[in-house]
Amino acid sequence: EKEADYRIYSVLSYFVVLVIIGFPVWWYTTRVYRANLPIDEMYKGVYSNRANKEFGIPLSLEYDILVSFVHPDPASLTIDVSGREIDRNLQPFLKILSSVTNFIVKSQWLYLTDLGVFPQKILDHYALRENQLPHIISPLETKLWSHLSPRPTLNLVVYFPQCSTPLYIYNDKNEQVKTNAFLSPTWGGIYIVNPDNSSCEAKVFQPNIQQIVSTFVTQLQHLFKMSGLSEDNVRELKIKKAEEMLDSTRRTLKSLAQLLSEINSIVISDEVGEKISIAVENADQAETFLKNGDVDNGLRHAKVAFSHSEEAFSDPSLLALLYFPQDQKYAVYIPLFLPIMIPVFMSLTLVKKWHASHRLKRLKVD
Amino acid sequence: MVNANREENINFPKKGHTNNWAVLVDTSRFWFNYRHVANVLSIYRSVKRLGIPDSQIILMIADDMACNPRNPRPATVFNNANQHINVYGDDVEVDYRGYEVTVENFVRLLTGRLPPGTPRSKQLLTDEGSNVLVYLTGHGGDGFFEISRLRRNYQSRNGRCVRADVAETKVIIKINKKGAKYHETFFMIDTCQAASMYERFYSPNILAVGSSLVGEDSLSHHVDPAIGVYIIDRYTYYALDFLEKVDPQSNRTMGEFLKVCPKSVCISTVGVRRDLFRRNPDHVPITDFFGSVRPINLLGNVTLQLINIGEPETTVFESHKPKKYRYIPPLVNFNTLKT
Repeated sequence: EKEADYRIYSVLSYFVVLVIIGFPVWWYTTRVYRANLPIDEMYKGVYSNRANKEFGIPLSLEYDILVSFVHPDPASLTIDVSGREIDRNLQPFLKILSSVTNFIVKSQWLYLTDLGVFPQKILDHYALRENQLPHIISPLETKLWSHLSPRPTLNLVVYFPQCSTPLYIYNDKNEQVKTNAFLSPTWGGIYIVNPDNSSCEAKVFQPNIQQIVSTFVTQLQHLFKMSGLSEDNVRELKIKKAEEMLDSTRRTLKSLAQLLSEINSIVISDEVGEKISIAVENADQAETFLKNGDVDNGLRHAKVAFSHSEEAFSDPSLLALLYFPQDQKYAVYIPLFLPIMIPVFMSLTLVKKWHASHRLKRLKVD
Repeated sequence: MVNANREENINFPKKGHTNNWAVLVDTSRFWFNYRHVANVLSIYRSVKRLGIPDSQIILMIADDMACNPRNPRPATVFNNANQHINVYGDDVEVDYRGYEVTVENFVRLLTGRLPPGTPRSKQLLTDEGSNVLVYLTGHGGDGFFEISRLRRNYQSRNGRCVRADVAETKVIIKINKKGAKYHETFFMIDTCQAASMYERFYSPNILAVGSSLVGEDSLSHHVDPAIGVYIIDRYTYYALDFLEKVDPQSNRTMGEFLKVCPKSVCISTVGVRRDLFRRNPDHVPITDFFGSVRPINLLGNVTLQLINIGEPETTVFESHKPKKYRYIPPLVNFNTLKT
């Protein structure tokens, strides 16, 4: 009789361990971990209408400026210009923008490289038409190595045509473009400097540094969509960049919130959760500062929010459960646990029978 | 000083996209899958010829055919039995090669969640103005295409990129679209039962074409007796035929490209998914996805900046201080010692 009792206790203990303790533990440990997130905050926000926005350089907190000197015929002409010189003279302009973004200036020389398009001969010089210009950039880019750094690159290229073929740019209306330079809004700018006759004879050419630096500064101004260099223009740029960063942050956070609601297997670790909270906080603070007209603080908080939201969104740990989709979880665990559960549940009928007979016995005794 | 005719000189991009990216993936290994490598290299070559720079092409090839010991013409890959064009060339840049072509890398590449420190050439750095071309080739089935078949006669489970994965990748890309990661995408799939791969897309602005419908197999085109294997698939052969006649200034449309392989020559039916694509493919120029032209602005006025040409820079680097030498008397000369 006692043995029967022990048997019943043993079945019950199996049941308790497997179902009452084991099942919740299994559920808890195989769920997708998500740190606490301010989901409501992530959804709110005012978004600007992006349909009419003209495209520009990618938004980033740091840029590389790559100055390239392209010299197709080094044997017949020596060009005396130094990248350091250009860098030093660009620094005043870059310092003006330093509160918005950081810049790292690099320079390189490309020898024996041509532009890859065929100019047309007009009288004593050669002309590049406006419609030929877009086809210069791609072949040149393959040689520029601008894609080696982790930051977006702004390319500023100076091309020195050969002495025998002075090159000028002509626009659609067949007028010569005085500046002899052009830019591509997402890539950078190109400036063509023709060596003058006396330098060609002397075989040494010293280009006008002021002209080169001024052209670069103007090209950078256009790339950043600034209409001038005054205090007001800089303030305008700061406001624009702060708003762009805020906009991007809000969109990223909203996208992330939507993703989380649609896909079950994305993991949000604690670090990512923290980054998101910081991003949300700073975005709110930036908004208040900008509303009150405090541009510098607004920009500062917007930068923090932007960098944190980007890091959180593209964190590789989000795909940690890539090979463990939710629907296959059951397919993995059922073959393990079902065979164990079967005898346990079958034994429960035994318990029921014992319980019934026990009650009957007790009634009889009473 | 604002340039008065600045407005005139600016050409706003008329197409609505500003740059082009291409993700070209070949997923099968081993010598008898030579045709898949030839497929993807042919598309690579067309895309490069039409103007997309290498820095914006991600090429994933799962096995090396050009330097395979069984290749009778080493360092070449041909896509035609008359061996006119060596699609391998000498300027091919493969970003993911051999064992790096895995499901995980592919999904991480498309969603942009690569580990920090990944070289820039292995990342897909699209933005809101990018048109992306995705081309997948290899073996496939209903709902999956196979990445890196591990053993020849045994289909390994780990290699399958389940359709749900790809659809979820597409969801992630859709959300990325809201966070601005692409402008429009063109999906080309040349595998068996290719249409099953694009059935579950629901992101906006995607145009998809597959070389066969569910239940059909995509077939290869012809054998090259000199090399000894099938060297190109039918759909890609005819697609290439079309692309070879396109140049960067051409005005052929995507609509024509979608009709490129009728059932009479392709044997399988080409499937197209255009309900998610906002524009009418007949009005979309083919260079929107296959080529790349940059918008340019001419520079109007240049404001002269004050500069100062200083003395030559004193070098910033500290030279090492020389080691201090001291005089050490010579050793005692025992020959001169007086005993």
